[in-house]
Amino acid sequence: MSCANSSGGLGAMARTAAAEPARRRPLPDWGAAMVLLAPMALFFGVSVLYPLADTVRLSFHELRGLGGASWVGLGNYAALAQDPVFLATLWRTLAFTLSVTAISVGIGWTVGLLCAFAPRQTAPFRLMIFATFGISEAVSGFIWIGIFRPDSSGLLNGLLGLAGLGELAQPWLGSPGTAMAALIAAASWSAVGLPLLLTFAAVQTIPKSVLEAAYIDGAKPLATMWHIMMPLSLPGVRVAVFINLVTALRAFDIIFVLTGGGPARSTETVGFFMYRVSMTEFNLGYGAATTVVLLLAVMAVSLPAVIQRTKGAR
Amino acid sequence: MPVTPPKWIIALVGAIGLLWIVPLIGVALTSLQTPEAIARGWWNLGNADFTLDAWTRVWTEYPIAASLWSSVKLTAIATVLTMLTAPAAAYAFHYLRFPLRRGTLILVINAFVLPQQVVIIPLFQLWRDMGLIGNVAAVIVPYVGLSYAWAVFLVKSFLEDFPKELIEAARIDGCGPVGTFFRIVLPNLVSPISACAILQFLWCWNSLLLPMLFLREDVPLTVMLARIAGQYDPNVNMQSAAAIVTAFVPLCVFILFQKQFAAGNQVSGGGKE
Amino acid sequence: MARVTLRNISKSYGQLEVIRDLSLDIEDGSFTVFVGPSGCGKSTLLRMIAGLEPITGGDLMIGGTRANDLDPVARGIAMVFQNYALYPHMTVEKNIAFSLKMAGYGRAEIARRVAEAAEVLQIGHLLGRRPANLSGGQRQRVAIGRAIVRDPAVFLFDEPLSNLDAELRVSMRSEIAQLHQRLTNTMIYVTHDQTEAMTMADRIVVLREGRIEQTGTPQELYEDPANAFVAGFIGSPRMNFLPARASGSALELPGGARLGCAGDGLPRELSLGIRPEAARPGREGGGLRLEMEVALVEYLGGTRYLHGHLADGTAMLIEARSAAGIRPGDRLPFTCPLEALRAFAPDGARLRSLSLLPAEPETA
Ligand SMILES: Nc1ncnc2c1ncn2[C@@H]1O[C@H](COP(=O)(O)OP(=O)(O)OP(=O)(O)O)[C@@H](O)[C@H]1O
Ligand SMILES: [Mg+2]
Repeated sequence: MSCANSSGGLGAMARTAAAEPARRRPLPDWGAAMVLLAPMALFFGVSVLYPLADTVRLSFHELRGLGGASWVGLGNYAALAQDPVFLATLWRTLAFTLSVTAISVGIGWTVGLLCAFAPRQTAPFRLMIFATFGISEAVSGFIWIGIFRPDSSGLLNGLLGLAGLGELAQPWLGSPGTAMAALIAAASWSAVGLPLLLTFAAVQTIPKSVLEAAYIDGAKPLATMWHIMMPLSLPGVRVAVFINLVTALRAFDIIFVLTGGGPARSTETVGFFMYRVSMTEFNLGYGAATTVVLLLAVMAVSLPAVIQRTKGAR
Repeated sequence: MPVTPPKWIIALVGAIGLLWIVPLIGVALTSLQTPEAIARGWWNLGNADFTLDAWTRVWTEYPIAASLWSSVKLTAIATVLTMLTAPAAAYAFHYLRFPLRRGTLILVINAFVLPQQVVIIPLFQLWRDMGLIGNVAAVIVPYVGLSYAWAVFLVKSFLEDFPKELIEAARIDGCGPVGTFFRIVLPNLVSPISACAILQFLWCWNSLLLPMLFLREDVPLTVMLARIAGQYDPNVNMQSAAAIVTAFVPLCVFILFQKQFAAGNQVSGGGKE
Repeated sequence: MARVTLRNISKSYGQLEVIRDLSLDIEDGSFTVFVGPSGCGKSTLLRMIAGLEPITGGDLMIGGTRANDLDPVARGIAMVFQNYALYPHMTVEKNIAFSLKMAGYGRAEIARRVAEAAEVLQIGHLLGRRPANLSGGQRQRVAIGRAIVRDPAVFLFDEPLSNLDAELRVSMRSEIAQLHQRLTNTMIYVTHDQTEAMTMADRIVVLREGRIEQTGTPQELYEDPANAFVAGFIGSPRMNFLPARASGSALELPGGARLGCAGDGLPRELSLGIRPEAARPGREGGGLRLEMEVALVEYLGGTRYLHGHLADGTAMLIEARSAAGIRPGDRLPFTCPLEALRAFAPDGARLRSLSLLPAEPETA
């Protein structure tokens, strides 16, 4: 820097300079917050707060199509509690949600742990499984129609025929007994990606020395998986379980494309029931009450996440 | 950790991976064969009948080009709006002090519990009354509004590790809170904003329910595919080509930006849909 | 150019009071250093002057006007942060120009000022680079450039050198001191390193637990500490404290050494401070005579530090310039002139009323 020997002087320079221009006072915090939050407030208000309030309001009304709404109190909920179709839908939703989550997390977790032993060699195969997660439910639904087609152009029936089990071939999506299983298979197929991804990411953060220590202690791969990787990958898996539960609970797209809820409503879950009642039968009050039930279910599943976020909100 | 990974692991994972893409191979092969060949089974490669017929006709048989444009338009606008507004909100929540700040923040970041189904009845009525059914805004507004729960959360988590001294230095340099956001914070938010953009892009492109209900003519690819898949149509090969077109863009984005996607999902935890 | 006056300043975070009732006058053009152990409130005090922390109570005057509620810019201050806080997405030039741009200066004026600041700091060749591509010392210069370009009334530094390596720290220390001589703005500098404080300051403010322990020039603090805390904090290596017992007109020290003393209201137990550099190995010279057992010899080239303990186990460290051949285990007599001794009460307060006399003849 050698200030001493360079000529002039910064202080002198600055003081001879033009007087400081007049400046605007900056906005106070609350003013700036209003400016920055306004766009979000608009979108959030219209598409979250208003619909939420209005759905709850409607659920206490009888409203069909374009007619006027009339107050029925808890009438819609009482009707739901006695509607055998809805009650069956509730159970079906539970079965669908739990099966899809269990299957997808089970497979994704196992494969994710196995991949940790050979991260490089398994990379292309991981991508194959993972890629299905980037495919929309609508496209997945369409793709799986092709697997379950009733004639011999469906892959499943075709394979059964090749294996000499032709008599087992059947219209999978056409009979109430098998359509749900088909739906679960399709939904699980696209849901495996996330648990695989999160498990693999979690095991990648385990220090290599820990795994090497286990190897030196004589642990075989399966023992290492069971005793070390499984517990250490739990945080990632927990997130995957949560996301997959919520996704399955709200499912609509894949059901709409694959089975349309049929046959004979055998694949309707609450998320689809709500759509049919309100958007095809225009029974809006009843549909709103169904939506509130769905919302409560999602909130119950999300409770730990909600608590965590609320505590962390500073 | 064995020095050379056990062979059986690679074999097992490989088998599962191959099994997983069988349905994808299925659509690809279906789109390349004649309907007659498909009826014999698309896997019967011995007497297959390959043709690019479906790929040449699909563009005229179905409104693919219009739907592709619609998907691009809806997704791009909604993604850009989220990229602009969510960071501003996250910044305000993180650095500014104003009344009801914490309450509002808790409300916004917990909105992830809302299923899409909640918005459809009220918004359907609202858009109908406003004459907005069929207007792109009818879909874009909820696309953006529903993104805040995770987008604000994601950017705010990033800001938690953002050096506080930069904000203070800007204050000392005479920069007001709005200026600090645009000049100091925003240019350094590239990584969380790109994570937001990728999540929002995939979610919007892959959405079915909202555009199906709120749009009429200019529907995006997913809605078009759902419509043609529901019809009885012997042209399975063309349907398959349409499905591939629908899945192509998000699949590429997804594979290219896996890292950001993973990071985004990990942080937002709640995920979406 | 401004005088900074703090009048009964206090600061609380909720229930926790970190600065209490602190008053201080910082003269125009002075280089004032706040020094004290970690957590004593130095940064908090500086940030209150900067306008980054609200002031809980009291008045802050800058250049004669009350500044409690002014924005940082209106206060006319500039600040250099410990971790530099350079804007990572801007070039060095843009970083330095930012505050001028915010103030609404014209392009030509900004360019002229940036060029001059760059010349003073010799960072002209770095102007096009991003902070990520600079070394620690270069970043430090840019951070200083960002502060000087505005010619503020008051410069604030919060431990600006603590992220640099030892050698660079020493050279930057003298550069900042020279910069002050040249710019003559008021500078307030926070550090926990007493060497930095001693070498740079016109005035040092020693803080402990949110209170001022003593204010004065480096020499005043070194030679005339107000209490045992300041005496121990200023000076390196630390001052030695020996327990002493007053009985009548005599002072008994470890190992049977005695001194005469006079003064009223003396406590029975007190402690005597001896700076390592005041002790002289050997038996020559008058004053206090003691003997230590050497445990460790630190050889530093020009000088040696001898660590050990007195007969009663009190730890002792003395500096010896010319005592070759001393080994661990040796018993080493040393003396200390009486005027170099400082006496403190058990609560740490300086006993100024005590005057020490040579030991009386053994008989008495
Ligand atoms: N935002 C805050 N909330 C609560 N307490 C705080 C806050 N900031 C500082 N403190 C407390 O105030 C006291 C003084 O802190 P300060 O940062 O001024 O110390 P310091 O002297 O600069 O220490 P160091 O040398 O470690 O930087 C500390 O006890 C610290 O814990
Ligand atoms: Mg500090």
